[in-house]
Amino acid sequence: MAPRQLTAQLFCELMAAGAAYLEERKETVNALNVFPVPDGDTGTNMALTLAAARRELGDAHGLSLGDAAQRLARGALLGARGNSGVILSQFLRGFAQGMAGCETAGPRELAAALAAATETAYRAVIKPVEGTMLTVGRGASEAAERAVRAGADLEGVLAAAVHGAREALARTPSLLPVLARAGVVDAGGQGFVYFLEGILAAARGERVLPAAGAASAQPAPAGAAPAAAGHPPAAHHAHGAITHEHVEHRYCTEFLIRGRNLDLDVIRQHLEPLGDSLLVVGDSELVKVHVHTNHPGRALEVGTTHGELLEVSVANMQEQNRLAAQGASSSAPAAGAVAGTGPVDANGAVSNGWTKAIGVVAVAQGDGWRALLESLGVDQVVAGGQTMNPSAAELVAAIEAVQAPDVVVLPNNSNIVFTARQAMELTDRRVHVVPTRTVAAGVAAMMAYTPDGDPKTVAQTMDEAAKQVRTVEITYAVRDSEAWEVAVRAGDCIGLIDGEIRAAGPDPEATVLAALEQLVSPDDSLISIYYGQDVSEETAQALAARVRSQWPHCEVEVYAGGQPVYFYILAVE
Amino acid sequence: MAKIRVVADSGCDIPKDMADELGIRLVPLTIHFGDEERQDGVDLSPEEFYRRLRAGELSRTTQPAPAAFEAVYRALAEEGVEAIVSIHLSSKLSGTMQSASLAAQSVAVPVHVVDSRSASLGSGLIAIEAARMARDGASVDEILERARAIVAQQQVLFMVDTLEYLQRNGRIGKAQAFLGGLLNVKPILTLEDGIVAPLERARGRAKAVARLLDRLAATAGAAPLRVAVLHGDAPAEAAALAGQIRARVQVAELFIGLLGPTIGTHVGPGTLGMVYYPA
Repeated sequence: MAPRQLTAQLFCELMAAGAAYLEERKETVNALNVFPVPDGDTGTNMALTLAAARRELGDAHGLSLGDAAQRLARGALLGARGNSGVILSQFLRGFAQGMAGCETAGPRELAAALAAATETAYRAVIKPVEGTMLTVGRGASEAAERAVRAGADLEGVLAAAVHGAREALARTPSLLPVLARAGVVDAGGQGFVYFLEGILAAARGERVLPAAGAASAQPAPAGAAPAAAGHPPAAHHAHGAITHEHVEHRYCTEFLIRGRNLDLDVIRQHLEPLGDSLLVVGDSELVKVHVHTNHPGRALEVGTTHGELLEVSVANMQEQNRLAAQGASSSAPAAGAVAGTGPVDANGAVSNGWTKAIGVVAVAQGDGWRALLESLGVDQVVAGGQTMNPSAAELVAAIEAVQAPDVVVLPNNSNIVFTARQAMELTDRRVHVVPTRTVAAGVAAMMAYTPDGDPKTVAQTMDEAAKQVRTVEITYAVRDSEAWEVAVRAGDCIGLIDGEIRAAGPDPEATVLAALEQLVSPDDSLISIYYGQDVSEETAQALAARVRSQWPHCEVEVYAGGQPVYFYILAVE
Repeated sequence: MAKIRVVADSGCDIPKDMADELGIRLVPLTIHFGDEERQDGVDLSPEEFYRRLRAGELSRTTQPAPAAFEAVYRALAEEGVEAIVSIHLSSKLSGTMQSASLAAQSVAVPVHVVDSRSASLGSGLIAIEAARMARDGASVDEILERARAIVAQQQVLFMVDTLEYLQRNGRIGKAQAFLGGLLNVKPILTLEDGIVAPLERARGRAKAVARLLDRLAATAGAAPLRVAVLHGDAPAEAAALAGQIRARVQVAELFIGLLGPTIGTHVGPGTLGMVYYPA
């Protein structure tokens, strides 16, 4: 039989159970901590905070409930670790204030104390952010208050609180874009849910069991996190959770209302009948509304009666689920594509589905180059080079595969610069061609690349950086030629400095040294050697040793470029 | 003693003797090596910290509990201090501000908590200037106004040997874009709105230092600068950089500061950088 009143003794047991439940699952929470949460691991910090709180509480022998809650809160405030711990401690402080003077508590007092907890936690944070533990706490306390109004008993209030918290947790990615991008729910919120779940289990007289094996150290996808801990998946799946489940309210509707003297409660009341997962947050001048409804038009109408609408977004969640399920069965999108493309993006998390402001397409040949360029942040590497110039259509396809409104193109070959300029005209994206003539110059350009900022400035800076290096390319002559500074016989190795034939030799290595002799100055400090597919690493390293001994003032780095045709590509800077 | 006192945190990297001389109270962050907890600057020295980092140990930091600030504020109140200016690490990088703000609400003496939007001596220089002004009899309003002006004008440039430390501790911010290079690349970073942001990359340390100097010269303006050179246990490089800075720009005052365990945890050994603003 469920208890009718919350006593200090029971409170102690519930807190112990909640803390133990979270402790068992702290690694799962830690694993969710993938975005810059100030200071440390969320799960560990919350668990340690609760441990400190419980130590202070002791066994609560002879205490009133109010005093016990007070003692627990004090312990939490003193022992708070990290932001998550601090916020948790503020919840407990508010809870204690709500319970002040209570010998024991019934459902009504419990719900009131939870409301006080939420209020205190919100006030304690300098700038409350939705999509965090605060949101989850409010989900719990609001659900508890509704349960009381519906006549729930103590256990019913706790069950409602857990349910409300889980729902709010599932919503966190739609409130914090960084969560949506990382594909996780908020870590602090998850910790809070675990804490409440442990409490509920104990209130029901269940033994608190260790987490199932599912408590892996891998960040779980949004919506899947609660499932991983052994719960049914959340009721709605706006964020890529894969299911064909019927969606009761089809349209995830979001907008901002800008106005004066906006009353959040009134707006909430007007919207409540239209659907579920309602969230109305903000202040008297700007309010964000999130609601799942079958009548998005009516929701917008409600908005217009209060002020002007901004950033309206309506997404069909049923369609999203279908697309997500399709996506999963064909090819799962890469982690970077979590935000999805335009129509799938329910939350405006990344507007229009862009994952960054400025993307990069580069042309290169060879697996080594592909890997090097991608490691520097190039989004799409188009295979191509001296003997294989890509088409404008190929470049356009690559440009449009980049999830960015502005795309820098590095042609990395003088024969591809015009193609890149052509591609500019064939796409709606804003394309910025940085006319790099060698792939080594492309690498130099990438040193100055940042994915944010003014695209024109970034492209210009990349261009300047590319001009800071001089390039040597070593290949072989396909026929005799007298047209250059050096006479060339078919089959000779030739060295091009910035595209001009300036050296020739019997073998690639001798040609490298001959070219470098003309090029390296005392101001240079770095020589990079990228060897091609026809050169072994040993040969390249032996060459590097000779270069080092001849130009000791320079660093010499060796990388596998894997390019055809060119035995070596070198950058001198 | 001044009626206005300055409180800072161990992440501000204010040298102890200077803090003592100016009456700045430093609240330590906690440094964790696994389960071992140390207090930055209390029972953990930078020497030990970097030795252990280089030996492959991993550290984490935790902001001071509100109670730690409360204790310091109360002690100052009991000394008869009339107001406290509490200057801390960027709220975007650490929850230290949060703890200080909470503690400020629960003491009787007025506490003005300032978000430096910076770190290390970037925050520390503000505290040092504030403490000097307090010593010279400035009012709270004057001190806060100057502090805000510095926050607005201060620039931060630094290079890290590896982004591993920023990434591991979740402070990588937008510099995420610079992760995972296969080349020997040194990221050049700044703090933008109080978070780590990428500027560019350089091939190797020598080029990175040259780029730091170029960027300093390009952004310095005509007025003499107050500069702090910061290093993650690279004193010789820091001294050389300080010399080059004096050769390139007008310097009013120059500090060389070791990045202590709090910031060292997040940037790692070999970090080199500078903060500066018109003096």
